[in-house]
Amino acid sequence: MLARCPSCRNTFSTDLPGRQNCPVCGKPLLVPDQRPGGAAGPPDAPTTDVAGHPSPPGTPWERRSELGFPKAWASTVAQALFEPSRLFAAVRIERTAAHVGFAVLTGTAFSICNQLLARALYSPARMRRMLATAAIPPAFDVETVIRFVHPRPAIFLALLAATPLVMLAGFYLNALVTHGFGLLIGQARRGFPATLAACAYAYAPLVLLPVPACGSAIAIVWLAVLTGIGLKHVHGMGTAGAAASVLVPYLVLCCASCGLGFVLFGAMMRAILQ
Amino acid sequence: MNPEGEVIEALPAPSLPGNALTISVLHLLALAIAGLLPLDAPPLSFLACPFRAATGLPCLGCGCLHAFAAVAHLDLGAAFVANPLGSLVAIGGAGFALRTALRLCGVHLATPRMGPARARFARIAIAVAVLANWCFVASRVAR
Repeated sequence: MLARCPSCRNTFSTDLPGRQNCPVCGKPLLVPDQRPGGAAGPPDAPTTDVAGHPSPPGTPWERRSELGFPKAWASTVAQALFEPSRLFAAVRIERTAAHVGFAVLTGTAFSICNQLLARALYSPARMRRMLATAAIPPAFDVETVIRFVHPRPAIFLALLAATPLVMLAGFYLNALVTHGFGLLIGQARRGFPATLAACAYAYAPLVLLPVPACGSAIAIVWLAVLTGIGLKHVHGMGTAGAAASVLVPYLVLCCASCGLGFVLFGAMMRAILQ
Repeated sequence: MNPEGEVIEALPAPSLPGNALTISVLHLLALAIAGLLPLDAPPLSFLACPFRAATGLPCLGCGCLHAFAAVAHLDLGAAFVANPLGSLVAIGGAGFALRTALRLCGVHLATPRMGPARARFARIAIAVAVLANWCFVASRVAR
């Protein structure tokens, strides 16, 4: 179909209705759906997905005003974990604030639970007992490692208070790098808000963070898989493109994304070598 | 759907600068934090890149934190030595934050136009730049 940009008045050819950027001036615009039953096109109307399905109803989280907050959050997490295709098919990509809120809320709450649980489980006395049973080199500074893992209460509280900001920064960083690679391979068709939505609901597995030992590892792998599924739905990417868009950020942001486990490991190795 | 080639009048999409504002604030915060933190003193000096520790080669992001810190101190030479693309991202992000601030003040700067051919060229150029950047950082690490 041919559409005319309201900003630069140039006409351009597009296959899909919905929100997109003008290929000439780059400004965001909304192409109304002309099919019977299609979205009429006001700015707050539901858009259509890449496959052309009209008016997605919105995820439970996007309908939390009618479902209630706890039910909407729980249903969204359950769908993300066990019925991701259904969840991503229902996403309304223009609800950016809701998406960011879901990701930051879920990530922050369970990251704080994880930190509290880790502090309760790994007390300095228990860590000393654990390290006493290991074959430790003579130069190994146990107290340095314990102070690093079990900081003073004031520092611990500061870390807890900084968690939402860290989660927000990590979320945007992940979305930006994922979207950047999607653009690089020419498959990010619906703009940054769509990538943001895919990345947001992919944060649902962070509910596993407090699970001792393997929870974080499972959460990160599951997050990556869900992001790929989300990208396939919201951008209509191919499997290879979605996989590449998801995996490259982990390569690019290796230092930033490997988490506290690697930091702890690096610190312990440095302490051993010194 | 529009079978006769009729031109559909597109509507202006709502362009709340929410994402731009958040990204700008986070970028400036990252610059400030990188500039303030003592990166080469313990415990931050304990932070080691696991990819580099495992392979001996830098990851694509190695040196970015030092590049951000150097840009925050306006030491552009040190920033480019640490990671050229990282320093470009730091400087570009600051420019983006300025553009967002102007946008909030009602000043709209023209968005660069790029046709499909130029977009393809830009993609190839970015891929080459990332590879060249990694080679540069790897050669610096090897020295």
